[in-house]
Amino acid sequence: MPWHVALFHSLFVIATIYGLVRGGSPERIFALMSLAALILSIRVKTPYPYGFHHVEVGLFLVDLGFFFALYVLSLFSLRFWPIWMSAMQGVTVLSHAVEFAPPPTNFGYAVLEQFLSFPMLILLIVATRRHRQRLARNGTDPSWTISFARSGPPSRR
Amino acid sequence: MSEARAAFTHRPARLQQGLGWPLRLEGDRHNELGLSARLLWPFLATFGIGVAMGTLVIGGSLLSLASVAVLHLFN
Repeated sequence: MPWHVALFHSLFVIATIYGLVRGGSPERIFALMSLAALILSIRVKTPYPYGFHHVEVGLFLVDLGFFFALYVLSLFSLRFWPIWMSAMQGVTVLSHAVEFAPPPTNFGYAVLEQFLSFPMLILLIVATRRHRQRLARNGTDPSWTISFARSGPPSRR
Repeated sequence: MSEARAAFTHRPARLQQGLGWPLRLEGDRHNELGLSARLLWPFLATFGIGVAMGTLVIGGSLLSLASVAVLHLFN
């Protein structure tokens, strides 16, 4: 396994577990979404070292789906980090167009397609840490712009 | 107070609505983004990151070319 793949998987495990255990609901949803995206990416990607010699259509579709999921998350969550996450994922989606630029370069395509996963995981760790800090300071940290809780009279307890 | 002066000196509770950014308000509150801003910002930020990365790549390539040219001059 190449060193950068081992580094990515280590960072992924740390960030995902931290986000799932200590994060609020947006952080947890993002951690689950990125886990699903990683599993799907591994399934559809051409195996190393033969990948990125042509447009990876399966990978493009996974990236696009992940972008739209992040976009919806950024619309409804009361956090700013999903906006940056969806922007980074947007660049990842656009990176598939590199293969059409002359001259096609599999190295540049591979780097551009995978590089932004690292800052996204680091951002998840920072977002989870900031969530814990807000919780400690304010006692609460609202997650969503809309509430699905049914309104009704306050309970008498 | 005239209407123009009142409009000029008015300080809204929520700063920069629409394309807002998390500016600090009084106390420990921050303003929130409106729906239009949330719809737009991911695409603006995608463009920004893309331009920044493209600038870095092109700038790096030009620096590399320049360094080769300078080394060629002295060798």
